[in-house]
Amino acid sequence: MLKSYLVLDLPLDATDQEIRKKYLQLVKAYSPEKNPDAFKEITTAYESIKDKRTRAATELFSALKNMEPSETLKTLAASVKIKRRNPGLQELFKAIN
Amino acid sequence: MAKKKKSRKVVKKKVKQKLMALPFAELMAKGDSFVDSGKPRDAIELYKMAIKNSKSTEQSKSVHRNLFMAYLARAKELSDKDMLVEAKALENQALTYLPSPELMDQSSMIAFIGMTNTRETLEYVVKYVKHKGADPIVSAMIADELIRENGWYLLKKRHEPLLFSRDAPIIKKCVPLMDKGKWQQAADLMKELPRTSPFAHIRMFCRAMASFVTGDDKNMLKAISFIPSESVFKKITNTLETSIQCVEEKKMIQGDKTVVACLWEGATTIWETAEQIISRAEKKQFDNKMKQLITTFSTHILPNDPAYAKQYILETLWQQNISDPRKISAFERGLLPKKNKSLQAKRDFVFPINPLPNAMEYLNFLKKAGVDAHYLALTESAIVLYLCNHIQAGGNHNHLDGASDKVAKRFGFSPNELFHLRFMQFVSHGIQCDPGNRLLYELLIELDCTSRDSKNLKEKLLLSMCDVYPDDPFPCIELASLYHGKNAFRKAENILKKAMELAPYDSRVQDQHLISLIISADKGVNKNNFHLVWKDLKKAQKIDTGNNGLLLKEKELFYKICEKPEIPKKTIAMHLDGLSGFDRLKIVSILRMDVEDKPKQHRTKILSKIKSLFKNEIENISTLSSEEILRLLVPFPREWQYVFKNLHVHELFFKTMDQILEYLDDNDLIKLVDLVLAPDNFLFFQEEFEMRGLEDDPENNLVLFYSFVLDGLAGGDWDVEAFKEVLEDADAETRKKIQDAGNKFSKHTHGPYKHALQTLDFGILEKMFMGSLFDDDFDDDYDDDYDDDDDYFDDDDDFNPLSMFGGGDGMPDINDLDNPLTKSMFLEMSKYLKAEDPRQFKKMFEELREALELFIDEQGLRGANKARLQSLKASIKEDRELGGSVAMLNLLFLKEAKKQLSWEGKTLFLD
Repeated sequence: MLKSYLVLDLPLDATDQEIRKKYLQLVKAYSPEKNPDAFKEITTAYESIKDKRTRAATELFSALKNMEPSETLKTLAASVKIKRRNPGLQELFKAIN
Repeated sequence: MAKKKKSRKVVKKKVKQKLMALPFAELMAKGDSFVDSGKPRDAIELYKMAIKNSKSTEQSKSVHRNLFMAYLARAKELSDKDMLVEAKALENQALTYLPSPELMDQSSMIAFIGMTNTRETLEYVVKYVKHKGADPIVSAMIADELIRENGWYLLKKRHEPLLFSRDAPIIKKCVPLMDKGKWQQAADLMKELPRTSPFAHIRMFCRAMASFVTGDDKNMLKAISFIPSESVFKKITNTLETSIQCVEEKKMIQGDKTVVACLWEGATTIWETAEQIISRAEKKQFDNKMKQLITTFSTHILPNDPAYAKQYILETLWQQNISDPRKISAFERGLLPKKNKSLQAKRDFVFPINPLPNAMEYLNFLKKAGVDAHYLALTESAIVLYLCNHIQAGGNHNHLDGASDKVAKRFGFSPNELFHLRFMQFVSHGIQCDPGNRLLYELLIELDCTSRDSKNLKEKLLLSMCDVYPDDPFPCIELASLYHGKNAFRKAENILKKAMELAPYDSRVQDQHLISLIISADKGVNKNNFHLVWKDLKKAQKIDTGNNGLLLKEKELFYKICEKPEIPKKTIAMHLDGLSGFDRLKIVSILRMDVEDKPKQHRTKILSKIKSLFKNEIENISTLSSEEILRLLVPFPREWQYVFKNLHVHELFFKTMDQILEYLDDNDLIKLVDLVLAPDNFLFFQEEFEMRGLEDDPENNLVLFYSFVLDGLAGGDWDVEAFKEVLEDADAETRKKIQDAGNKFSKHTHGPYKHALQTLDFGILEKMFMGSLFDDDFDDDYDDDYDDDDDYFDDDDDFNPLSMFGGGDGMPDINDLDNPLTKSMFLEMSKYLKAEDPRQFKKMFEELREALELFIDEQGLRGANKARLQSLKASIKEDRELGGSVAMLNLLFLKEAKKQLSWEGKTLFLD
């Protein structure tokens, strides 16, 4: 279940409406024609948390759904947000020395 | 050895002498070719020889440049091998051969810059430029050095041709801005610099950094493209480029790690952490390092609730490590001490080991954790659905059969009912928890109802489904079918009317209506009321959607025969004229099934005619394709369940024609087995597969697998070695098919066989029957174990009463007796031993009985009152060694113990 929330970039306590809203936003941004893989990932994530009933089932059986731990861990890693820094010149020179 | 070394030295010396004899030009050419082929060490040697053979100082000096470059190449080789000290020494040596500037070219200059201090470089470059003219790359590199080392004070008047002095004041002003990260301001200030300035690329770097910071990657890449690849700034921009791409594509960040850490904020090493977790999980390294990695990873991905992330990661790793639950449980205990028990309960129902009690425990944990009631009910319903599917898929009836009263009560079924009713009650419980769980309703619909109670319960649940889905005709159709089964025709008609109102053009509704009319017509046959029979049939023909065409044709013929029983066989056969071979045989087979229980009048006469007709038709089976024969053999559709008493038409074919399976190809035969396999046809299929697997196609691993499993199911041996060979030989695709087949076959067996088929680990069967269980020296081992010791329970070694069953490697630990698989494995072995060697079985019980009675005597419990004995019962069960013996007594020798144990023994040890 965590994977789905991270793919959709939602907090764990998001409501059904919030989930739906975010899903629609994302499918608009990642259309199936231009980004088929991303679209599939988003849709799968949405389908697994779209309402309380599916969330209950997903929560229970994530161990069965995530057959490939490496894929899951990579998806989780991909969700981590990395920000750009603004280093100074000396800092950069130190880094390459 | 020494001799060999010596001779090698002699050869080397001779080669050297030969080379020394070569003229200067040849030595130079050979040296160059060594450089080109990446052998700088050999090149150095040859260049040195060339110096010796040079005829003038001029000639000798001309070698210096080559030697200088060869030394640098060798230094690079060593530094690539991390031999930095040696590399530095060679660089210093290279400097001794530094040629005069006029002999240098751009590549040698690039190699030279950076080896010495900026002051020396600057002087050298001035001379180089004097001879060779301006070199923008070399100038740019010098500019880099000036900025890096703050070497502005080195600039003298004589450096003017390099244009550094002209532009240095602007750059000096910009450096503090660059140090503060004010890249845009710096770039703006540098606008005054002409494009030919040696500092021009630094302006591009500032622009690139400014664009990076603002997220304008397009302009950043454009600016980067103007920076020469030899510049020190390129080292930074290379990482900038790759890291941007990786972050964009959500991949592991490539590039210099230190530079990455400068450019990016956050968990830049998260990918490496993920890879380390994956690698450790694959190697099953569940140690402290793994705990640390998961903790770090969880904190990064979910800073607000890392415990939840940890749990999720642990669950992700379950699948791969389910064969070692103790190890994973110990790891979980260390990582999530508070959740360890609930995780174990969850794992044990998801990967079902005793699923019902574990599911109950898990639900209790959720309740205690304060999960809201609605979510809890949905969870419970989902668990029921999952377990129902599991029970059905693997034929795991024991999960319900062996449930305690407490568990049965919790999940709403009566432990004393027959399985099918218990199962339906379990489904009903799931529906009660979540009346919107459509999948549970669909599962319910597929269930056969044989008893009145189960029919009533199904009716109740279908009525509830009608309420939940008021616009759906599906539950109405199913209710109509159920009412037909209960002979409640009026109710069936009413509910069908409702379905027709809801979806008049739905083919499912029309088909059910058709079936309803056929049932009504069949009743008319039994009442000899043919007027109504034809009326119903006509109506049915009118609404046929095409799904029941052959049934209608058969019914028409059947009613004609019933109306006029004297009709000759030939005339019946004439009705089939013009139909395809498949249609003829299908109709006759349906007819044959029909006359099994209908009509009430003239049945014998009609039956003999149809039997003979069926025999005639089946003789033409060889004209049909394998696929058509398969279609003949598959059971009638479930919708026909109240039209025919039995839907299994294959039984009829099997009875009539022994060799029918020969006409199916391997794929269709396998499909048929998957559909109709039952204990009464194990042998029938086994013979066919044996013939195909061993004689016709010994390379077909799937067929061989079916053959070996059917052999075991039909009462033959479970040939462990053969299974192992098949699995070893199978490619990945076949192995997947074998796995699916194993799961399907597991429905037909139990205990260790079921486990072996589900996991494809046939070693377990080997341990059972090929280990030391029936070794000839069993008596000796046994006597050694028990007779030599005076005190049975004081043995220093861990005592495992189960070792009485052989105790070889791989035998489960006594604590595993809670595991249903271990339990069933020992029950199986005990049953086998009792049947094969009753003397040994009796001896084992006797030894155990004596040991337990001895315990009573030694503890002074003989003659103790019931209350005292019962108070000790719990602590005996918990005792690691004695508890195991007691468990074994109850499991394997209960019947014998009830008869032969003393009163104290029964009170103390029996459940």
